[in-house]
Amino acid sequence: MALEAFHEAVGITFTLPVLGGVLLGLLIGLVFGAAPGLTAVLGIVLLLPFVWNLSPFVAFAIMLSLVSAVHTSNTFPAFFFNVPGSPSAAATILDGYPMARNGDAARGLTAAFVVSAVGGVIGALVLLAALPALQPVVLAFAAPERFMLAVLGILMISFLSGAKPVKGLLAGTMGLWLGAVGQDPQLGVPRFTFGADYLLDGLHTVPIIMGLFALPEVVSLAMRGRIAERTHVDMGEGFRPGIRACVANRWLVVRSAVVGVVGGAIPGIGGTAAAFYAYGMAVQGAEGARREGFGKGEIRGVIAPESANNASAGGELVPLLAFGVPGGATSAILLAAFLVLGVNPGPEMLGEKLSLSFSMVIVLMLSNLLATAVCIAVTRPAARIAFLRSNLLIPGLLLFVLFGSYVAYPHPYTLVVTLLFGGLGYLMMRLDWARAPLLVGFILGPLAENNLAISLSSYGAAFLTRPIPLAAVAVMLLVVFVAVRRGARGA
Amino acid sequence: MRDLREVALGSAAAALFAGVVLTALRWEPETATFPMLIGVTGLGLAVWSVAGDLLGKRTARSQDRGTSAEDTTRARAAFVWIAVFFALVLSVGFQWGLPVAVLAYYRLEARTGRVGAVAAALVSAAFLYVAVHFLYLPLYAGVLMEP
Repeated sequence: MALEAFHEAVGITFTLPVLGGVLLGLLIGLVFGAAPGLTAVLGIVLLLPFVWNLSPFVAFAIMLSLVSAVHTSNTFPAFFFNVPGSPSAAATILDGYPMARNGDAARGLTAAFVVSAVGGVIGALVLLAALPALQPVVLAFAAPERFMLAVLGILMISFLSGAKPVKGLLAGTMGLWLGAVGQDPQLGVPRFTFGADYLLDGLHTVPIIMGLFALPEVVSLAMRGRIAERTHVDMGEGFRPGIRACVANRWLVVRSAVVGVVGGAIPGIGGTAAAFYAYGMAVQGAEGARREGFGKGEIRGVIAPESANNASAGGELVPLLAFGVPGGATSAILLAAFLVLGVNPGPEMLGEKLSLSFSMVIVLMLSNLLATAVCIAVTRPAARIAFLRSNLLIPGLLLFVLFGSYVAYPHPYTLVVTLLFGGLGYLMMRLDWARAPLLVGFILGPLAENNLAISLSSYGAAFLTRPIPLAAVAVMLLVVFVAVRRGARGA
Repeated sequence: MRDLREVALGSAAAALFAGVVLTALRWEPETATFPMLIGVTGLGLAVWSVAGDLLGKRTARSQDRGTSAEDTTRARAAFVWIAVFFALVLSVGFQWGLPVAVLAYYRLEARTGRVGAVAAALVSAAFLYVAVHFLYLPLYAGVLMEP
């Protein structure tokens, strides 16, 4: 079955619409990665209203290519003015910026791009291997297991993302409540609609995402203003030396990619933390004078985080596709994309939609390779994007936010909902409350409620004593323990 | 200093979840089970969060370290412009409101040249024209323009 699905995926992926989607996602992703302040999350958020009526193969080709391209091109601003193009490039700054100041940008960028491709491909290969391996486990899941997984997903992302675990969990619970707005699934009784017909169908995903994630970014961009005054990029020479450096450090590339995959696959860790782990490992592994060179333009300090952050994209998709549990903010938005496209992650993605899962793996590999080739080819013009005055982008972003929200559910109240969630999102951003748990709670809430109702009617409270729910409870306790310890250390 | 905004947000969440619990008490068990679970959990967490904010050690306000007066001014300007964009679209609709907002932003906030600002407004108008007339997307006409 897996082999047939893979053949079908190859056939569909190498068609004009899907390949066109890959190219479109690449182009958008390159700009979003290179321009500081525009992130992969924002890119997918703005795309959501435009992809809902496309085939899932094309839609995910666009979105995954965008993510891969952002993970690759976010290296430009990290090198040129000490600012990550998106959070996952934060660790690259440590040695990337000193390399650029030393006139060694070309060698560093080439190495960063090449290892990004290698890391991305390794991440995709791990995903390819994981899907058939997880298939029998996931297909055996019934309502109690699905309920516990939904709760576990919310708990993990709430507790592990962000510096404030209790606030994260509170945000996740708020998301669950928002997901309960509308008619209840069993009796059809309106809940929390305050008499408004608009809310009878429940709140809609796209306006919430636009408000929660895109509007606060508009304010951040405005605060950023013009972030660098330099108008000349001193690239230096050294594309071949960059490639030679990758070959010389091939085991570091592989090790860092493995760290990236594992970090991406554990909900709440994600690519940014994985990149820092990989950087730390590279420092630990270096000896003598080489160790002293970290932070001053050491190429291993660029290779390790870049390999890890691209590999994390494949890792993040493992729990998302297999269990419907997102690993971080990007995959939380991808989870929303599944919902918008009418596809259910979890058993469906490893059963009847296995070919779509395989197509996502192929797209991930292809887009990582293409992003690297394009970044190397257009390094000089692409670097100029990093010098754009960020406040010039604001009207375009607002246009897409307003247009995208309204098109997703054409009603004037949709704009009001977007604005309200924009206010909430900004407040959460300012107060360091993680926003992803709220979205994950909102999306997984109805799924959890349906499966809880089925579990209670079929097994009563005894559903909690089945093996997988028991294991899920054990993992939840472990997550709470880790979060409490982390909180205690931070205090 | 204690961050009163944290306390306010936590208190608002506590009030919200208390309301959820009280509302759910009036419903049939099938309707109420899940909201009741959420309400009780949320209320407990919100109280824990507020208590932590009030009793925990005093720290600098989140993200305020490194926020300059210039940043605050820019943030305020962004709020105003977001409000302007939304207000124009809600009042005169997408096709008039957005191009006007784009033009105003580039001229008054970004201080770009007249030609650039008009070009940006025209591009946004063209985008909306294509959306309505070729993609048949229903765009809001605005509360003042609706028949």
